[in-house]
Amino acid sequence: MFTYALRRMLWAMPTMLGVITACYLLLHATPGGPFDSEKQLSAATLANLDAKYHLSEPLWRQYLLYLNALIHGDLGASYRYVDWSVNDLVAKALPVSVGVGGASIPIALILGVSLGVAAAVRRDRWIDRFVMLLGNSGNVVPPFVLGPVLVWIFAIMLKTREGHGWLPAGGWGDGAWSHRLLPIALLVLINVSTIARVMRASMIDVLGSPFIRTARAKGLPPRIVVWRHALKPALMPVVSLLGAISISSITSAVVTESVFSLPGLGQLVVNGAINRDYTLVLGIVVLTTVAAVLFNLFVDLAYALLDPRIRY
Amino acid sequence: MTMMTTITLSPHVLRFSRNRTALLSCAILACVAFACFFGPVWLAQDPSRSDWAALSLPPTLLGGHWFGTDELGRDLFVRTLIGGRVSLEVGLLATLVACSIGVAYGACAGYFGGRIDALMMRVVDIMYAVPYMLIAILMMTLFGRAFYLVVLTISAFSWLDMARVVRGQTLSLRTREFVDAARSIGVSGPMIVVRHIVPNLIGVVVVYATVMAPGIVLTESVLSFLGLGVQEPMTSWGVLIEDGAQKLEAMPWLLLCPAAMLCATLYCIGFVGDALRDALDPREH
Amino acid sequence: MALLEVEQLSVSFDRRNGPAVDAVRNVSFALDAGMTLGIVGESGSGKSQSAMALLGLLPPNARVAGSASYDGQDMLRLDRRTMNKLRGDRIAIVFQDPMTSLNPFLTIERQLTEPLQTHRRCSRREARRCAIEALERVRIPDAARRIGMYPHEFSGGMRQRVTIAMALMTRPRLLIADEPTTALDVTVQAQIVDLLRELTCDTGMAMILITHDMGVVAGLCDDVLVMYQGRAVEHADAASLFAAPTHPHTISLMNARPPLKRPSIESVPAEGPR
Repeated sequence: MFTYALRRMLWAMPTMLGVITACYLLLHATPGGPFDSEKQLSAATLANLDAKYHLSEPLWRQYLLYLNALIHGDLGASYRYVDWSVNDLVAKALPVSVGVGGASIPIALILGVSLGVAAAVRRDRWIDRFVMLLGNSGNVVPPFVLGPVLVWIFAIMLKTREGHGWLPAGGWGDGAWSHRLLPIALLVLINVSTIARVMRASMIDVLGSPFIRTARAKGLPPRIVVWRHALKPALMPVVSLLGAISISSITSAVVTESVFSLPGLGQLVVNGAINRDYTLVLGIVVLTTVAAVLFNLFVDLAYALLDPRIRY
Repeated sequence: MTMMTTITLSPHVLRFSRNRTALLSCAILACVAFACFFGPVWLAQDPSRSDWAALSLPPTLLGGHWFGTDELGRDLFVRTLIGGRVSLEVGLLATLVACSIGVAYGACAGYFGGRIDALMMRVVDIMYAVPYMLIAILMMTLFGRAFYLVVLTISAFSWLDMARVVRGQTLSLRTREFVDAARSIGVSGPMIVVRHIVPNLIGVVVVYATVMAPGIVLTESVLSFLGLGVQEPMTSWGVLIEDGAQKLEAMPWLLLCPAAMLCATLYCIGFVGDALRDALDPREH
Repeated sequence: MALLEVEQLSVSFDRRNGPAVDAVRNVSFALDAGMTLGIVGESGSGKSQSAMALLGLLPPNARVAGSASYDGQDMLRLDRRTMNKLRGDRIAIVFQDPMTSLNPFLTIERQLTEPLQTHRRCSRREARRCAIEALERVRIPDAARRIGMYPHEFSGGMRQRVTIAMALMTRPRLLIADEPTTALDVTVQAQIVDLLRELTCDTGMAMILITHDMGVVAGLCDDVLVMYQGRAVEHADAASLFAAPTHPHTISLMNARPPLKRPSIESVPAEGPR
C-alpha cells in the first residue's frame, strides 16, 4: 500500500513539471513582450520593467528563476496590477472560489449517490425515471444557459413583498449565504446528474452480483443488503469519476463566476487573459494544475483504500 | 482493402434505422444544419439591419420576426441562424481535426506497443490532468481569435479520449490474423497501420466522434460566452446567449431562443450517438 | 411428517419479446428431517431454479406455481418479511462459485457474524466467538487470525469451506447446496464432499444437494431426483437408482463419467422444443 502511494506520488511530479514547463514555453513563445501594446513607455520605465521581470535574461534563465520562485511558493508579480503580486491576487480570490466550489462538491456527491441508490433500488418507479431524465439532461443544458435561467427564476421572476428578487442576481456580497446559494446550486446541478447516473448504473450492476444474492439468501434485511454489502463496490466508479469531475469543475467554476459576477479565480484568470497579464494567468494555471494533479492522486489512493483487493 | 475490412455496414444501418428517436434526431439535425447554412441566404436578411418598427419585440409568428428582435431591432432568428453556422462549422471542423489527431496518435501507440506506447499514453495522462479551459483561454489570448485558431485550440484538447479508445482497439486488432498475413508478405509497419488497422476502426471512431461532438460545440460556446471565442463581427450561439443573459429581465427570448437551438442540437447529436453505439454493438442483440 | 413437501412446482420466466420460458414443470418431492436429497440433471434442466424458487431468490420476471410446504407454511406464498426470517436461519443455501459468492469488500468475520446478529440478536463478541468455532469446524487452520481477512486472501477450497461455515452459523434444519463442488479442483471436491457428509451426520440437518456429478451423489445422498428439461423423470433412493436406473437420461448421466472400458457415446432424443 505504501509503495503504491509512493509510486503514484512520484509519477505526479513529472506531470506537474511537464505542465508548468509547457505553459511557460507557450507564454514566452509568442512574439512580442507583454508590454509591447502599451502606449510608448519611456526608456527608463522600460529599463525598470526589464529589471523587475528579468525580461532581458535568456529564456532558460528566466525559466529557472521562475521555477525557483515557484518552489518557494512565489507565483511572481502581476504584469498589470503593478503593486500586487500574483500571490496576493490569488489570496483574495481563492476564498470565493473555494467557498462556492468547495461546498458544492460534497453536496453534489451526497445528493448524487443517494439519488443513484434510490433509483437503482426502486427500478422503473418514478424516482428511477426522474434520475434517468436528470442524467440525460445533464450534458445537454449547458451551465451558461442554466445559470442565467436560475437567475431569471429566482432573482427576477420570484419577487418578495418589497419587490426585490428572492435571491440576488449576482455579486459576492462578502460571502453572505444568499449570494452563495444560486452559484452553489448551479454547480451542484451540473455535477449531480453525472454522479447520479453513474451511481445508478453501478448500483444496478452490483445488485445483480452473486454476492448480493448470497446476502439476500442469508435473510439480511434489504437495507443492510444495500448499504453494507452493495454500496462500497458500487461506489468505485463514482470515485474514479471524481477525478474527471475535478477537471470539469474548473470550467464550471469559470462559467459560474462569470454568470454570477463572483470575484473568484475564474474571473481573475479571464480578466487576466483579456488584459494580457501573463504572470497572473500562468500562476493560476500552475496552481489549478497542481491542485488537479494532487486531487487525482488523492482519488487514486482513495480507490486503493476502498477496495481491499488493491493492496500490492 | 474491401476484402480485409471485417465490418459490413448493412445490418448496422438497418438496426439504426429502426430506432425512431434516432431518425427523428437526424432529421432535426439536418433541418438545423440546412437552416443555418442556407437559411440566411434564402431569407435574404441582413442580420445587422435594424427594423425600427419592431424594437424589442418578443417572438411573433405572424410579424415575420419568429424569434423576436433585440433592442436595436435586429431580427433574432437570422442572427441565431448565422450564429448557428459558426457554431456548427467550428464544431464540425474541430471534431474532424480532433478525430484525425486522436486516430493517428492512438493507432500508432497501439500498433507499436511497448515503450513507445507507454510513453505516448503517459503524455495523454499528463494532458488529462491539465485544466484545458484555462489553457484554451490562455491560447486564445496569446494567439488571437481567428477562426482557424479557435478550431485548433479546441481540437488541441479534445483528441485525448479518441486516442485512448483507438489505442485500445488497435491493441486488440494488432494480434489478429490479417495483420500477421500482411506482415508475412512484407508490408511495412506504417503501411499496415494505414491500410489494415485504420479501416477496421471506422465503427468505433464514428461512434466516438458523435460522443465528442457535443462537448466540442459546448466548448466553443463556453469560450464565446466568456468573450474569448470567435472575433466580432462573427457571432455564435455562445455570444448570443451571453448577450441574452445580460438583457434577461427585459427580453428573455434573447437568451431562450438561441439556448433552445443549442440544447436541441446537442440533444439530437447525443441521441444519434447513442443509437449508433447500440447499432454497432454486437452484444445488444 | 416430512420436513419439506413440494407439490407440482413450476417456474417460468417472462420474456420481453417472445413467449415465456418454462424452466421447471410440475416437480414434486418430499424431504424428511435428516435426509439428503440429490437433485441431478444436466445444465439447464431446471434443478437450480427449483431450489431458488423455494427461497424466493428468482429474478423479478419469474412466475412460480405449485406449493412447497415447510413446517406448515407454504414457502411460495410467504410475504417478504417472513421469508427473510426463514432464509439464512431455518434454511440456508450454499452457492456454486466461492470466488463470487462472498463479498470481496467485507471481512470474513463480518460476513460470518451477520446471520447471527440478524436472526439471533447476538452481541458482536459472542458472534465472533461462534464464527471462529464454525471456521474450526470446517477445518480452516488458524481460524482466530484468519477471521479478519478478506475473501481474496483464501484459496478456492477454503473459500467454499467458509461459505459452508457461513451457512451453518444459525444451525439450519435444511441446507441447500447448489453445485457446491463444481467450481473446485477434483481433489478439493472430495474434501468438500467429506465435510458435507460429516456435518449432516453430526447436526442431523437435512440437505438438498444439486449437482450434475453422479459421483458426488453416490457419496452423499439418500434419495435422488433426476431432472431433464424441467421435469422430474426419475425419483428413487440412491441404492435402487444406482443398481437399476430406469430413465435413459439417468443412464446417460451415469455414463457421463469417462469409463475405463466403453468408448461409445450415446445420446438421448430431445422431447419437444426448448
